[in-house]
Amino acid sequence: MSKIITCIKFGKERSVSFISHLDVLRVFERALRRAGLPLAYTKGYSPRPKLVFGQALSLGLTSRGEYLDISLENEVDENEVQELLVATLPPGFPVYMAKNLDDKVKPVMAAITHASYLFKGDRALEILEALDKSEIIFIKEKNNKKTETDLRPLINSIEPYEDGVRLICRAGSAYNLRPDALLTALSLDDEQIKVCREDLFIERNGSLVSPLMRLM
Amino acid sequence: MLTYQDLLEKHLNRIEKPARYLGTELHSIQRKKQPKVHVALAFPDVYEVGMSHLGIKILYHIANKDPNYWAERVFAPWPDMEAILNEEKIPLMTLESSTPLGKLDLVGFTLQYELSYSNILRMLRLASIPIRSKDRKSGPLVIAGGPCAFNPEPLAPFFDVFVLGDGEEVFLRILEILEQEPDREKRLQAIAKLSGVYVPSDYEIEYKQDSTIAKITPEKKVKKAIIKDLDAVDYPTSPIVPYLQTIHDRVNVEVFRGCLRGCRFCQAGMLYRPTRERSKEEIKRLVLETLKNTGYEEVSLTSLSTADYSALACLVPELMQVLEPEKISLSLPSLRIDSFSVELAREIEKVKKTGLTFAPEAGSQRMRNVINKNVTEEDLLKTAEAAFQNGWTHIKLYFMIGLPTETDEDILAIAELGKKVRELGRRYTKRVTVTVSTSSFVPKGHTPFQWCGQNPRDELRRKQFLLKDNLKGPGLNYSWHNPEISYLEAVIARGDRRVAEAILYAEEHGAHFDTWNEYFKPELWAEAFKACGIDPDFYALRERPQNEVFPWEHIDSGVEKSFLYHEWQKALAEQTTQDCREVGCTGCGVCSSFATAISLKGGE
Ligand code: SF4
Repeated sequence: MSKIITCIKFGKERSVSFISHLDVLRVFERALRRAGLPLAYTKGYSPRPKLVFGQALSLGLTSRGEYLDISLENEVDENEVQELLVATLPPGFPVYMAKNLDDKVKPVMAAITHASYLFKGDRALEILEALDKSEIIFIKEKNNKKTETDLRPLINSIEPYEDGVRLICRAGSAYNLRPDALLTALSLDDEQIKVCREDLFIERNGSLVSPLMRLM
Repeated sequence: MLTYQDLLEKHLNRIEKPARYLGTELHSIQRKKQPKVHVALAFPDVYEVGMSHLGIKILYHIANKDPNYWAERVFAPWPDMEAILNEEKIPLMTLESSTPLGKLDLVGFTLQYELSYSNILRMLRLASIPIRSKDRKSGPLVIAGGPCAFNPEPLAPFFDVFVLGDGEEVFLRILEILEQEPDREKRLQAIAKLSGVYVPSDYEIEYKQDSTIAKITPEKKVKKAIIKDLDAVDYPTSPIVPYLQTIHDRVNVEVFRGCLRGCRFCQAGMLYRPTRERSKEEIKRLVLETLKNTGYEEVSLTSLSTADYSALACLVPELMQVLEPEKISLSLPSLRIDSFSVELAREIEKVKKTGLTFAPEAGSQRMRNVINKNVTEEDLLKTAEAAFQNGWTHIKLYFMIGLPTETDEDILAIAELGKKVRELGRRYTKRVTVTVSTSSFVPKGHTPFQWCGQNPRDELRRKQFLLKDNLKGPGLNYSWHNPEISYLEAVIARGDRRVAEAILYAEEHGAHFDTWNEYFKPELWAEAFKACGIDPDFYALRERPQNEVFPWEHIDSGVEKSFLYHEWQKALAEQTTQDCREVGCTGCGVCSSFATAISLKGGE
C-alpha cells in the first residue's frame, strides 16, 4: 500500500486561540481518530499518528493559515478529508483546504520559510515605522543571560492593510521572526494590538508559494 | 460583565494555563435559551484534577440530557486566576457561560478528599455566596456529595444539604424539585424528604466534659442512596474531551461499584458495598461508543479493584481484538497480586509498555493479616517473577506505614520485600528497578480502624528514615508522603462540627490548595486549631473506646457498627476475614439493610 501525505490548511479562531500548540496536536489526533481516517502510525511501544505541523503559533494569536501534514496509509479523496475534519473538529478550527501530496515531499515544518501576520489596533500603524530603521534590537533575557537580536533583516515587507498593517517576514527553523518580539522591540507590547497569522509560505525561485504547492 | 474569554484576552501573560477556563471543550454543553433549572457542578481543585473525576462526568451527563436543565462546571481557580477575579471584582463564574455562581439555583460540590475543604470555602467566598448555610436566605442551594460526605460534620455549618451514596437518582430528583418549586425554603424542605439526603441543621450535637460526643438528636439515621442495577442508570458516552491534558485523560468506563475484599483500612470498600457489576455487553457498548465520540487513544476499566470483575478474563481479549488494530491502549488500574493479573497485563501491553504496580500495603504477613490484605509473600514474589519473565523491568510497590500494631520489624519487612523483588528481577534483567512507595495510614470513619489512633508525625518520620536507610542500593527507589499532610487529613477525616471553625479560620488566613506541596502551610493549620480552641491530637491520635459516639454516628452506610467493631477485634488478633463473594456472607449487614444483594452481572 502506498502511503500518502494529506496536507490541510486550517485556522484558529479567537475562541481557541488560548489553546497551546501541544494541546492543538491532541485535538487533531482525536479528531482524526473520530473521522476514522486510515492514519499511519509511528513504530514502537507507544504508537502515535504521524502528524507534522507547519509552525507553532504563540498563545493568544489567531490564524487563518496553519498547516498540518497527515500521513495516511492509503489515499483518501481530498474533499472527503476536508469534510470529515470539518465535521469532527471542535468549533473554532475551520478547515480551508486539504491536498494530497506525495509522501516524499519535504515535511511542512522543514519547508516553511516565510509568514505573513496582520496587526490590528489603535497603534498598529506605528509598526510601519520599523521600515525606516536600520536595526531593530530585541533583547531577550533568559537565565540571567541577555541576548540581543536584530530583527530588521528578518522583515521582508510591511504595508497598510485594512485598518492595520500586514507584515511579511522570515519564519521556520533557521530564521524566524516572532510577532510578539517585534512588538516588544518597537515598544508596542501593551496588549492592545491583536495579531493574526495570515499565512505561511515557502520560498521558491524568489517568490512565496503555499505549502500546499510543495514539490518533491 | 466580563467573561473568562475577556479576562484571558486582558491578562493573557499572567495566566499559566488559559485552557483551564475556556468551557468550550468538545461535548461541553452550551445552551442558547435560559434553562428552567441552572446549576453548577463544582470540584474543589484545579481543572486538570476535577476533570479526571468520574462522578462529575456522570452527573453532568444525566442532568444535561434534559434540555430544561443546564449543569455547568466550576473548578477552583488557580491562584493566578483568583488574583485576577479579585482585582477585577468579578465573582467566581461557571466555565460554560461565565455565569456568576450566585445567580444559579444550586451549586453542588464533590467531596473527594478532606484536604480540598479549604478550597470549597474559598470558592464560596470568591462567588460572594455567604459561607455559612444559616446566612443564606436567597441565592443557590449549596450541596455536596461524594465519599467524604459520609463524615459531613467538619463541613456541617457550610452546606444546606449533603447527598450520601450513589448520586445519580437523587440528583435527578433534586433537579425536578428545583424545576417545580421556586421558593428556596420550600425547595429545601422537599429535598430533605428524599432518601440519601442529610440536612445538617436538622441535627443537634451535645458534647461531654471530655469533649467526646454525648448525644446526637434526633436519633434517626440517614441512610445512603444506592443504585441496585448499574446497567439501569445512564452512563456518559460523550464525555467532555478536555484541551488540557488531565490526570486521567482517556475513556473511563466504570465496570463495577463497590468492593468486597474487606481491607480494613479502606473507606471506599466499606462505603460502597455491595459489589454491583455492569454487564459485559454493556461495558463493551460503552467503550466502543465513547471511543467513537471522543477519539481517545486509551481506555481504562475503572473500579475499586478491576481485576475482581467476574468476566474480566473474557472481556479483556474481546476488547483488545477491537482496540489493538486501532492502536488504542487499555489500562487496568488496581491490578491484583496474582499471575492472572500478569497474564492480563501481558495481554493489554501489546500496545503500550509501562511499569507494573502492585499494592501489598504491608511488608510482613502479620501486618497484612491485621489489615486483612489477603496476599502472601509467595503470591507477590510469584507475580513479580511472572512480570520479569514477561519483560517488565520496573516494578512499583505500594505500602502504608503507621498501621495499627505496627512494629519496626513490620517496617523492615517492607525493605526486605523490596530487596527480594529486586533480587528476583536480577535473574531476568540487569536493568531492574523496584520503587517502594509509602503513604502514612490515616484512620477513617466507617471502617474497622475508626477506633484506632494515628501514629504521631515524629513516629512516621522515624519510620520513613528507617526505611530509607534500609532501601539503599542500585535498582531501589523509595518515595514517601509528607506526614504533615496525613496528620491534617486524619484530624479532618474524623473531625466533628467544631473542627469546621478551624477550617474556616485557616481558609480566612490563606489556606487553599492544601494537597499541593507548594501551597500547603502546616503552621497555618496549627495556628487555626489553636485559635479555635481545638486539640488536633484529640481527633488524629486518640484511640477510641468501643462505645464512643462518633461524629458520623447518624450517617448510615448500611454496614453495621457491630460488624466493624468485630473486624477491629479480629485485626488486633491478627485474624483475617475472607471475601464474602467466595465464602458466603460474613455479616456486614449492607445487603439486608437495602434489601439487595451482590450483583455479579459480568459472569452471567
Ligand atoms: S451483607 Fe454479607 S453478602 Fe452482603 S456485602 Fe455484606 S458480607 Fe457481603
